[in-house]
Amino acid sequence: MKPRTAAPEPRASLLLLLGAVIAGAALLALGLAVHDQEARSADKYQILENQARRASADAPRRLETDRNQAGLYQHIRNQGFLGEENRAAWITALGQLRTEFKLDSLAWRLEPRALSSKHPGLALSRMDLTASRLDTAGLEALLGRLRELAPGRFTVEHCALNFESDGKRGQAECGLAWWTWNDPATSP
Amino acid sequence: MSIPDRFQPARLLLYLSSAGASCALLRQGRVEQALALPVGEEGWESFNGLLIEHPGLPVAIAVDTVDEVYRQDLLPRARGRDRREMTERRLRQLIHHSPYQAALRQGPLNDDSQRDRYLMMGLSSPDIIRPWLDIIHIRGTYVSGIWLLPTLAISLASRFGLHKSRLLLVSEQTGGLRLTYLEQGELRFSRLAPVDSSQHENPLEGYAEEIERTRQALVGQRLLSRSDILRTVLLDPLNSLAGLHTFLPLTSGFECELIQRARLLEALALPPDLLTESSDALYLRLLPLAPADGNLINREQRLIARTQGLKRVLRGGARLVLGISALACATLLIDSWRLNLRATEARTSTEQLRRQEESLLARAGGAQALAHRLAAVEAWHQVASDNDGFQPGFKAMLDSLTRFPSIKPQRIEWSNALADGQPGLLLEADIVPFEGDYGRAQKLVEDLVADLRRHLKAGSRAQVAAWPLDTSSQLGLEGEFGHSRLSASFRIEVRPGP
Repeated sequence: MKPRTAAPEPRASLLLLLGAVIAGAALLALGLAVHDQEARSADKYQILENQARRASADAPRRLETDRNQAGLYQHIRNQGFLGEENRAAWITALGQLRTEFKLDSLAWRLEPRALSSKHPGLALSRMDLTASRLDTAGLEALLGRLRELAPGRFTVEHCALNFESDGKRGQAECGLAWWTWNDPATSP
Repeated sequence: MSIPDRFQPARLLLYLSSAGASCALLRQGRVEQALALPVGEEGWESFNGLLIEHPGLPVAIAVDTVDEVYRQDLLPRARGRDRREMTERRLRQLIHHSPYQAALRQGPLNDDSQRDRYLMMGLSSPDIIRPWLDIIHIRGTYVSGIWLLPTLAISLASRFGLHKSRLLLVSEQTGGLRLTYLEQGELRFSRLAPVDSSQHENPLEGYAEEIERTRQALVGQRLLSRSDILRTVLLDPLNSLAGLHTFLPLTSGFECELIQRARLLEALALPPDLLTESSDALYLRLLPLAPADGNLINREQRLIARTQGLKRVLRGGARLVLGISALACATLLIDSWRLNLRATEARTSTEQLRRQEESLLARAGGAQALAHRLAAVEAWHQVASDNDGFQPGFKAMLDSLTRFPSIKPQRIEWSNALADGQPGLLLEADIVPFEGDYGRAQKLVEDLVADLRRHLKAGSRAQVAAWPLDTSSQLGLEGEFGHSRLSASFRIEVRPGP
């Protein structure tokens, strides 16, 4: 029988423990990485499933709403609210107004279009409008006629009538906001 | 502090006597595979085979021999390294002829001398263990400890609650009759009496003679007085000593007590088949419980045992770390697989739900077209809400002015954000003609405000922001008549309702 050597230093065992710790940590890291990836994937698909479930359950209500709003949508479309601005038609309408209302002058200034924070896809262009020698009833009529002639949707942000000395006519200064909407789901 | 049985490291337990040997395996605190080994080469070969079968296992040895030396000693109280150096020095003086020696500390001396009692012990002839140690060395394993059999009696007495009295433990061993005297659980004296069964017809008579001889030795050593009753506990794993009782009557100074096989098995949690042939297995079971300072191994063996022990701990640690990591990794992977299944189910379900929704919305042009139309209408409503303020207020103001011809407007302004950031309508006007009657002017303005309030949208608030003349008593007032035209200008603010 060949004698084996006496007990060596425990260096090899220490290295073995160190190796085991490293290998164990690597194993654990691998397991955690795989688990983390699968957990995130499962969460993502769970969220998608919940969304799809809600959308599917909500579909009849949306159909009903759409049916009820069909007329309004048609009106919105005809108003020129959807898609790009039709600035040429707006300015043309202003020219027509000046002639119709026999105004001495009708000055306007249109700012570049800017996105609004009110609603996704909503944009507005501000227009300053100055009309001279307009009577009290004329201002209302002028804005009403502009709504009829111009293909677009505008709101009045401010309007002032500075009367002349007779107290019947004056210069009107209005700020309008022309609104358009582009569907963010289809816009680039 | 002793390690609980189940956490005792695995080891081979070896009982050696001049008449034979026994061996067993200690695993998870249980003694297994007890085996009697014959004397001589045949026994060594069997032991070698066992070591091959269980490579690397340390060996604990119990030696039952007449070649044993015991010396009671008193040493100054010391701790740690000082105690070790002191006892080693004393052992070299007392038992200089053997490398296998130990100092068993037994407790303090009951006086003020600050000294402790020690039992110095050693193997006077190591011949009995040498061949076995050679085999252990050849097999590359090591000795975790060597104990004289009497030191194992200490834990045995403790197990049976015999550590509070003076007693003589008697057990029949392969090598003869072992007689061990304990005082309050401390080992005081022990001898192995060879048994010659040819001298007596009943061998128990021979045992009784040896017990009497031991009693005389105890008296001779002044451990016992002649008149003392000697409590004699007969360990009887083979149930063969029951008759001994009659040879040791109380009248001769003996108080006999028999611990038979069943009690031994129960107290030491031994498997029933272990004590069928010899009582050696009883001491093999007690080996893991042997006192550490009764270990006889020499310095070199101690160093090897410590190194090997450290290696075992490190390897065990490595196995534990790897095992826990592998288990954790496997758990994580199994859970990942479960999550993957869940994701697949969710994906399938999502596709089904989408198909279901698409088929439902197909007649409305599809989900996208429908969403477009609904979003367009929503955006439209957002804009429409902005348009409410201007026209009604402005028109009501103009209408009211027509009912007050003496009020001449200078400026009417509507804004969705006046100077204070809130929407509102402003009127700046003058009263013409004005003849200096401020009371009438104030009344006219009040009438205009009242008229406005009647015609404005419900909830709107109309109030005078500046009167033709501020008549508040809290303010000072000054003016002059004669150099300028009299004026009755005023300002009215209208705020929409909430």
